[in-house]
Amino acid sequence: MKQSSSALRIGHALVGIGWLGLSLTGGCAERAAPITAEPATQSNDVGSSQKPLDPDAKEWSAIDKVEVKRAPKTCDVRRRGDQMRVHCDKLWANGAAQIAGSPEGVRFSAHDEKQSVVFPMRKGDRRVFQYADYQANRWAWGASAMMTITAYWLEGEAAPTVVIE
Amino acid sequence: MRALAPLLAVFVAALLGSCTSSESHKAESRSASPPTSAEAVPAPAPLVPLTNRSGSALARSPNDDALYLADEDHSALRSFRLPIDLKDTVASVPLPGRPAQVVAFADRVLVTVRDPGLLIELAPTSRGFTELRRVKLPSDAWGLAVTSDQKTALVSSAWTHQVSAVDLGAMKVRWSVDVAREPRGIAITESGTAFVSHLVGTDVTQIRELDRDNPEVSRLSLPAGRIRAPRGATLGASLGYAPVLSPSDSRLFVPRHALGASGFERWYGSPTVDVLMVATGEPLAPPRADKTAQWEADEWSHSAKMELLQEVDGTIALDAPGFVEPRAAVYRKSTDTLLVVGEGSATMDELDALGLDPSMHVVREYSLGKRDPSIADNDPHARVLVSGGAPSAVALSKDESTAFVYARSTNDLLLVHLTDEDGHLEKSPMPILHITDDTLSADAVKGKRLFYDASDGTLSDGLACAGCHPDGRDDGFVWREMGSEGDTRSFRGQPRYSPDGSELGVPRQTPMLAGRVSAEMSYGWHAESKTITERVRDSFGIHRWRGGNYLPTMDRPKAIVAFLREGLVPPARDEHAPTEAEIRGKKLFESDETGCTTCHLPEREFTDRTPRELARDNRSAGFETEKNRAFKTPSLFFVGGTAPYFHDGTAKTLEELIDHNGNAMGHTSQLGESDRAALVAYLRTL
Repeated sequence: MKQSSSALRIGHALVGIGWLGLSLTGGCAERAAPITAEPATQSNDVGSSQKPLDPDAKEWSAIDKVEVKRAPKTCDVRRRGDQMRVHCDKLWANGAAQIAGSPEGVRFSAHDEKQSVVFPMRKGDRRVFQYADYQANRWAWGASAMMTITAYWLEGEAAPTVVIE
Repeated sequence: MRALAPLLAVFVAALLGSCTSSESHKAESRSASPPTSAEAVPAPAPLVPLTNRSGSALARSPNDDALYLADEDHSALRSFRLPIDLKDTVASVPLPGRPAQVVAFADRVLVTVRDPGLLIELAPTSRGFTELRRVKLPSDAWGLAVTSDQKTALVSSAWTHQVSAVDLGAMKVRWSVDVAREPRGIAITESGTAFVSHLVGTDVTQIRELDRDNPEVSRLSLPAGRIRAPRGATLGASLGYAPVLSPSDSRLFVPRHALGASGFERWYGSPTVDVLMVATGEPLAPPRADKTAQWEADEWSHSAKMELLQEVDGTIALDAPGFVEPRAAVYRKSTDTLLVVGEGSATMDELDALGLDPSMHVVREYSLGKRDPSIADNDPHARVLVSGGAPSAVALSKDESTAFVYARSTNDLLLVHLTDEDGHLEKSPMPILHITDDTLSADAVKGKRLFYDASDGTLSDGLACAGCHPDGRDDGFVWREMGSEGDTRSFRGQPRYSPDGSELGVPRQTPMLAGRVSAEMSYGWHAESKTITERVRDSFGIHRWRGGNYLPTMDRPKAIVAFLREGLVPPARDEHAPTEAEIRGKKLFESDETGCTTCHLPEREFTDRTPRELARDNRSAGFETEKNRAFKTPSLFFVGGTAPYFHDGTAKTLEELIDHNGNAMGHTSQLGESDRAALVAYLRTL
């Protein structure tokens, strides 16, 4: 039996937005996942249009991680306004591709085995990214995928959902 | 089970009695032939929530004291006491035909029977179990689901492409509606909207207003493998056996096969789980990006920000999940995962149910099949399974820590330990309960295991016979055969182009096998194989991309052919007095005027098995033009249910085929509208 993936899910997280007096719960359609409260931070403000941060910007580390289910220990997800970053350590992919969704505003970075992708996250957005072993197969025939990231925010849902294999 | 044995013995006796009694066959209500055992049943108890309102070959009792199995290959309903004790004797009762799905209530079970088409209600009594009532349904009754008020059951009839509503109070059919080919699994929301998946095609049937005599039926477009599709392509789909609703009814999961989906070395496409948003009727997955953006680290050292490498028009092939030929699925609420069993891969994949395409997010894969070590020693490509073959149904234990899986080709019940919420897995052997042995010949038993197994490296390269010939029928798909004029022939599910941009490969519509392979004569589109055994052997090469040679350790073609002939069950013909149109059509078919029987010999499965030059244009849009214009006359057995027609699938219906035939095959240009309709009516009876 093969343990092949982990999944991050921010939809179940309770994101407190203290200064607005709002809270966002269960963005994904399903239930039953544990709800984890997060401290209210202005940086998690949804809908604000702050200047986009580079994937490697130090400011990301000051933003609270989104508590997720089945989170791989080597990955974290953070959201700042309408920007989201997925960062993973010890990921040896040397190439990445966006499979579905708008590529506008999407930025990748790689430092050693540290990989980050930043992308807009607004209601209606649906994106799929893939990290792959580019060297082995070249894209023409089919890369050997190392990680697939699905990120979306459906209309009518309070928060976005991220799933990472 | 020991405690239940006397009760089950009564159940067996009751069923045997009912099966041999014409009186009880006719009975559709308890008042028909008093006194009946049904009268001993107490008044309906308050509603007890069902463990699963959608049917499956396996169903767990809401009381958590029994697991029921609709054993199609042995025409039996089986009962296992929970918790499972491997030393228990499995209780079995014969049914009047092959069952397909069962739904368990607290005090009774419902089971569909394919031939004759029936829904049978059975209940426990103080003496055991007994048949309460049955209702006749259109032939090939397969899928089953019950409304949340438990007052109505919907049943899909696969071959006759109908969905029927049964009033469970009166046990009477309220309505039957015609739907697209091969309706199979059914899921009904709490509020009463039904969804039906199909073995053929991409659309999902939606049925609303179930309580009305005239329900609202529509087809919802659900693109197959949208994220996996080559950009701009629309894929076909097959194997839609088991739609599953999310606990909140917000999503409908449809595990199936995306024909032509891009994948690493996936000539046959890719398994997928397509998700429909119930509220909007729209697919959840977005299409492929207009341009696939790729980034690459500017140095192999990964020491810098990734740079945009290129935006390409091509499609990046995605890795396919491990399961092949999804056959059944269940939602695991405690983890928000979907358990999908792969009939061909003998695996169960646990998928993250929140993915846009859950098949892209495999949380864990459970290997179910065990191979025969003695055969493997002699033939490294052989993977004949001795247990866990062709998993066909899955049900969860009450605490969702165990999945019960029915393995059809080896007749086993597997108890699969699942990971807990933290991803930990109990490290203990998987208990296997062998239920029974097949009564087929030794060759056919081996052939049955091979027919469903996609992992035998000699027989195929990733897709089993059952992948394109589910139930021995067809997937309704037109494949692409490469190298048809040369030695290294192979199949592809998606377009292939030559350097000059022209499309490669000739069209090959999947033929139906069940009931069409008894003749010891030529097979193949050009009658290139002298016998069915030779045809099967040749097919191995075409399907595994390595030419016709294979390791002869085991006589696989002989085994496969034995199963095709002994194990596959053709659809039941609709036995009825011929209509005027059918009588007229038969006369036309057999007349010298049309000349149909010149080639379609009634005494030989309606074929002379002889290649004849096509009288029509040989070019097929999107395919290479085939030099060999002589095609073997196809059998017309079961032709009414095998659309589309011709080797290239250009005729979508029988009506279209006859309307456009002219004098290309026989002479039909002189026939008026009513005669053409009569001819079609007769063809549907074959």
